[in-house]
Amino acid sequence: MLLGVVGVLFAALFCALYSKLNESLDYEISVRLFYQFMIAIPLVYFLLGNIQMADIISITLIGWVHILALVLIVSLGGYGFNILSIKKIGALKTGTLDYIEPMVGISLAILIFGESMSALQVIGWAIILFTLINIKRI
Amino acid sequence: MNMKYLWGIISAICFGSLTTFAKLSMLDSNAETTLILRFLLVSSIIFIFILLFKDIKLLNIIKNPYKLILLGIFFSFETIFFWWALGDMDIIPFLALFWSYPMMILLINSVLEYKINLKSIFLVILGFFGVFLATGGFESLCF
Repeated sequence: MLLGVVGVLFAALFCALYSKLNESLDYEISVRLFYQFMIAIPLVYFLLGNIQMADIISITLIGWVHILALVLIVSLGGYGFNILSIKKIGALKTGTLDYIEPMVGISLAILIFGESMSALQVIGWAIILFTLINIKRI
Repeated sequence: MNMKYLWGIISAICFGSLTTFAKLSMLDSNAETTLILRFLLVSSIIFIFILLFKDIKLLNIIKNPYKLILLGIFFSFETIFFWWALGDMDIIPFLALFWSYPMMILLINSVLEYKINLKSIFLVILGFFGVFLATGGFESLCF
């Protein structure tokens, strides 16, 4: 558990460094995304490993549809608009806008998996909304 | 809300669907395979896009490659630590802690640019507290 906490804090730190570095880059969004993912392929492959050809062959049609949704919505849409936003309003405001993410995630979990929300979660939503309404002050 | 915030909102909505789609795609394959396939497909799509609609010379970054390489390394380590930590802890405290990254941007800003804005600090920490409650982080710690 402690190692997990350290790991997730490092993930957050690298995410912050990635956002800050994007602020100072002049390259086109498509070029940044291309190199970002190209560099990630060997690094992720060697450090995470555990990829077998049999796993790829066994993916069903619906599985490929889900992977394609991840590619188009998360990787292209998410990172593409993220870089565009960093160019317009900077890394900190873009990062704060990302607080919308759990709201979307929870909404989808309620709609798709039929999960429910507690009173504390509703209060959390209200606090996030307050922060987003006041984002100009950041 | 000003139109300039629209791109950030769309980006957050796109990222917000990550957990759901990742959960669905992992019904068919493991996390690492999904991740590598995703990166391969994205790189190929962008390469074809640049080839067809932009100039292939754009990909020539030989004059100043360092920042782009560093960007790729930051992204890779974010991904690696993300998946590594995800395997070691429950999803709720994991997500609640991951959204501390705007606070880290604040910290980097204050170290690199000597910028300290009390309103920013208050709103970013308040937002993080909201995320912590909304993701159920508080309940997972207390109950």
